Amino acid sequence: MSSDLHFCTITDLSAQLAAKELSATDLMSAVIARTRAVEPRVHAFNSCDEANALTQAAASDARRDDGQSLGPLDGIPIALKDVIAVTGQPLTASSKMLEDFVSPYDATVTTKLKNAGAVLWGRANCDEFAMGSSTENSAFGPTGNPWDVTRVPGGSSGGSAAALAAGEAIAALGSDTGGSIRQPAALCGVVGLKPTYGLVSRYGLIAYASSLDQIGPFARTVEDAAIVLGAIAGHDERDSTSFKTDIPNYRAELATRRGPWKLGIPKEYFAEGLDPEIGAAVEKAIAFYKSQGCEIREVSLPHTQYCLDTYYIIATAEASSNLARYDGIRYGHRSKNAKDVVDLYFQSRAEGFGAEVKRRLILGTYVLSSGYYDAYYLRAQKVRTLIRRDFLNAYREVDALITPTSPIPAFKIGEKSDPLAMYLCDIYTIGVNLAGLPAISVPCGFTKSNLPIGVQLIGQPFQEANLLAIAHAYERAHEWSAKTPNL
Amino acid sequence: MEYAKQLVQVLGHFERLKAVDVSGIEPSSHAFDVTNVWADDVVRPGLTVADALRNALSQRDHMVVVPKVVE
Repeated sequence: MSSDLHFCTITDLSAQLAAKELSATDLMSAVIARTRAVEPRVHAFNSCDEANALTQAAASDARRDDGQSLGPLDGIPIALKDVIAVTGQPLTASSKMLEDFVSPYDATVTTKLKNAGAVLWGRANCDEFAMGSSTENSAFGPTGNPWDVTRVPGGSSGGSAAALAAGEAIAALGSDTGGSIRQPAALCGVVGLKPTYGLVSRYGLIAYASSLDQIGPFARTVEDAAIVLGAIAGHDERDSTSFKTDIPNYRAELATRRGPWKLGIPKEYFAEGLDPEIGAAVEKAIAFYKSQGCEIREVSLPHTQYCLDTYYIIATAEASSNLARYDGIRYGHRSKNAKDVVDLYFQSRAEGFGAEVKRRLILGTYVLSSGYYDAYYLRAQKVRTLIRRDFLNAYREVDALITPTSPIPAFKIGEKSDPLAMYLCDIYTIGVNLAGLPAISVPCGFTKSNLPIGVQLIGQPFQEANLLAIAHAYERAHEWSAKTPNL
Repeated sequence: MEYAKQLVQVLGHFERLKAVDVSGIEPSSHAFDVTNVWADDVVRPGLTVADALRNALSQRDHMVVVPKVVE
């Protein structure tokens, strides 16, 4: 690991903090200094409140001096995607619609991180309302990939991934509706975990597609991701889709679960459109598991080719319903040009939303409209049943699946102007959301142009402990996570 | 017109789902079968009026002000 504080892991830093070799205030100061140095080029954050973060860090130091430390996250700076509510802080969803919105309450994950002593730092840039795969759809400008700032960091949680990769945070939270944690993690060379649907409360997360959205961690290592997941997972009565299940000590479980595992390779995920360098890197990861005694089997997910259409029907339908609340009345952007109250709705939404959000709202409204509901929305929900069934059938034979995370490495900002071409970035990640499964992207190499590559491991529902252990086995034997970008 | 062209292209892509045999298949609205989650019907502390109205652009006497609806 790097000797720079801002590139250290939670594991290293928490040990230094516990041994009083380092104070939370010094750590936060180092992260602020790093942020000031690189943020003009990266633009990972929509806002950051230095004074507030230093106050939180001082409180952490006071707790530790009193012998009241709250655990491994106490004093660790964690960035939050700008769709997760923090009381008294801006919450914009990277939209003009919420440009001046200040959150009146905490999301459940925010409360849990506060209870674990984490220093909440920075509202990370993202695609507007989490709709996109490049963070270019932000109303406040794109984020640069720390490995090459002329390229995208992926999306929609691109700011979270870039902040971590650039050393502007020690960990981060994002949300993943169709790949929005895993794909940017792959493109920025960090670990990104999308938990099982229902494991982490969505209370206080700005809704995009409620049956698919899930909050999860970005971290430098699998162990760090396990620590953050342990802090944010668990049933919450304020989210009615939150699942009642025992939360194991994910970090401790890493040491006890050692395989060998049976891993499935879905043949449909290695088809045309996959960048050859990514394909080769993932093949090497598969060969590693084989060398460790894991049984590798080819499996079939026959409905894979329908995932993209199913996802874009269901997600846009849910979005059109969720985003109906932004009407310019109670909060959010209100047009100054409206003639009457109906015109106020129209003008406020026309001025407040960006192009991709409008496209998805129009599509979603269309697929739900009478006359088209059965042909699009209902049919997509049935295909979703088949997609989920494919995964569950595969899990009769294997413990987890191994695939590329993204078909392509980070592309140039502005390179993809066609919406459909952009949607194809999610081709390996959306099936997981439709089936509600947990999945993790772990760094597995670099292209010849020094752009990070990620391998995706897809686990069984609520088996995050197993999934993390499988990922950890690979990571431990490789050095990818220790590499940092030259910014 | 740019939107129309793009949306027609995406809707054209959606047509592919017509090739799937969905006869006898139940629709899934969620990945897991969690239904009818009830909360106890008890009053709990919530946002204060000031907090709830904090982001309203126009307000008066604890109410949000909107343009006149009825002439």
